[in-house]
Amino acid sequence: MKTFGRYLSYRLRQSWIRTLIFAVLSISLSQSVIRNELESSFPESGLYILAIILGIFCTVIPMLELGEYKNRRNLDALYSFAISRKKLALLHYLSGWIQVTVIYTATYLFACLTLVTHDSPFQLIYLLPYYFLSLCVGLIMYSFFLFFFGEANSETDGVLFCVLGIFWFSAIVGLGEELLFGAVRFSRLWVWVYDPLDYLTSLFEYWIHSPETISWGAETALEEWYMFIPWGAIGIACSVGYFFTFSRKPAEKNGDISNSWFGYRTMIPIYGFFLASISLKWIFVTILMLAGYFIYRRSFKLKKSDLIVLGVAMLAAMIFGI
Amino acid sequence: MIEIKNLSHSLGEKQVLSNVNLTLKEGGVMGLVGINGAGKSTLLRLIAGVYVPDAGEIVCDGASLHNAVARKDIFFLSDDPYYTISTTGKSLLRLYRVFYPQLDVEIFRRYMSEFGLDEKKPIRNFSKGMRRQLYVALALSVRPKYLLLDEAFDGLDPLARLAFKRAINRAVEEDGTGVLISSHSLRELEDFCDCYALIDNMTVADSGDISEHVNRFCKFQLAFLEEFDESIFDGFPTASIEKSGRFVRVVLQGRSDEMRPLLEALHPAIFEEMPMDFEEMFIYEVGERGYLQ
Repeated sequence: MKTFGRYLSYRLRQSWIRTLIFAVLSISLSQSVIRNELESSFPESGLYILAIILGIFCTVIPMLELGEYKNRRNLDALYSFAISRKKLALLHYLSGWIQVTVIYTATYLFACLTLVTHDSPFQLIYLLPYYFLSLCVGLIMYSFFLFFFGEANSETDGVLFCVLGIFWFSAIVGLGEELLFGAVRFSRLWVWVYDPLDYLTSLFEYWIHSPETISWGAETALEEWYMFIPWGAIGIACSVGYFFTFSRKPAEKNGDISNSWFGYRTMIPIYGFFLASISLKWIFVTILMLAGYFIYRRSFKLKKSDLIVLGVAMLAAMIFGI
Repeated sequence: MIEIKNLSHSLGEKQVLSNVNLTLKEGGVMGLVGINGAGKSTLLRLIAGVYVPDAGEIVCDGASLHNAVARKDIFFLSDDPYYTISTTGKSLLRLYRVFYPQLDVEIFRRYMSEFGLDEKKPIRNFSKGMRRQLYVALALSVRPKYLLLDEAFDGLDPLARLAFKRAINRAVEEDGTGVLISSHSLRELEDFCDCYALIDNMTVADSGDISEHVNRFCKFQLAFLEEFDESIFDGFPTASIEKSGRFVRVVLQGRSDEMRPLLEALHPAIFEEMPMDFEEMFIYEVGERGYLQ
């Protein structure tokens, strides 16, 4: 455990300048937005900017934290150290999350200070539970991106997995709904990974804004509370998946084609299916899917299985689209 | 002592190592040789814990290297060592001190100054040889029990090679470090390795004392007064024959004292034994295995 503590402390010391820069940028941005909101004719709390900042860093920090593991050269050193991969996985999970929390907390505290010192009509007491709940929701997003980035074998694939993964879970459920009921129902309420934070922030904006709007806003917003169940489960699954992948992924796979089921392999046909069935632009979507496969295979030479999957996705989209 | 027992490993679908058995002793320097793609780097990565073996076991002083803690006594210097955009010698020192608390900063600085390197400069601006020198300084300042070096001489200029060899010898003599070193520069290996392991056909095809092994071949230069045909060596255990006019250079598999009378029986006008080195021995050894045309 001594080595673990020393390495965690080393990682945090190595990243403190980056964390400081991110915190300063976030504080500047949030202050500018909140002050503008307060000075407008219809003052708002500007809580959404805190959510945006949390969303951005829950996306970016996992990529920065695991980026060095996408380079075969680095793995020769990092995996030869006297620390187990399970501990390394935990260490990066903690190190990244500490950075997110520090940036977000600093931004949040400055935002609170500005709101408190201005003569605003807000119920500022709601800021406190918002902080803790937003961090809990942030942890879902953080685990999500850590998992998707970790599934890739290169940095570029990792970034693309994160970007494409944003809609992945709802797309999977949506596909199931489409096949079972012929239309998406449940999954349209939780389309992307930022939805829980968006929902939470909207709810607290109602509560903070004015006591008159509490019942109306809360009633409307609370209707969709159950979205936290799938997203909470996804957050836990992503954390478990991240630890599993990190500790078991062979170093020699690094730099190879990213062949994970949580990547191009499923994303290209599923997104292709949805795009084609909604837009009905078959040729355009086919070209997009082909481009996806070229990126996936890092070659213009595709496998027979890729073409079969592409064909099946387009055929299914035609049947459902028409 | 590092013991490799029945080790097998594949990279993707390709089997790279199969049933490898090898022992590296403390205070010994073993050269790991083999043709490109033989599996030398894979073997070093397996020992270092970078790769997890498909089968078999690697034991370091009684503890399985599958257990990360046992790796504290091993320093692995890969052919392309770690650095990021912001890495400097100083930051590497901080990183390695986390895992090797015994790292001696004075030794590191002494070697850095010997190699003429600035620890505050980003490594990304260093040449390959300079990066390797920096890592050599780091490896020696850690004073590990076992040192694994992949393509150790790659990118080093002759002076740096000399300094490197001296430093390794010092580590072996003073600290009893066990060194496993892979290189294609066999003449360099011969200088300071006391034993070798030849990786071929996915396993350790041959191993042992270098000087004993070199003596398994002998080389002679002969000249005859009359024209002659190479067939006069039929029945000899020849590894190589190079004929030029009435001169011939012949490499025979066997001890020189056994071969000498056989050659003398051919009544050459000039008869001279020439020294064999490890690199020549390697060429004949892999030639026998069908790699050379």
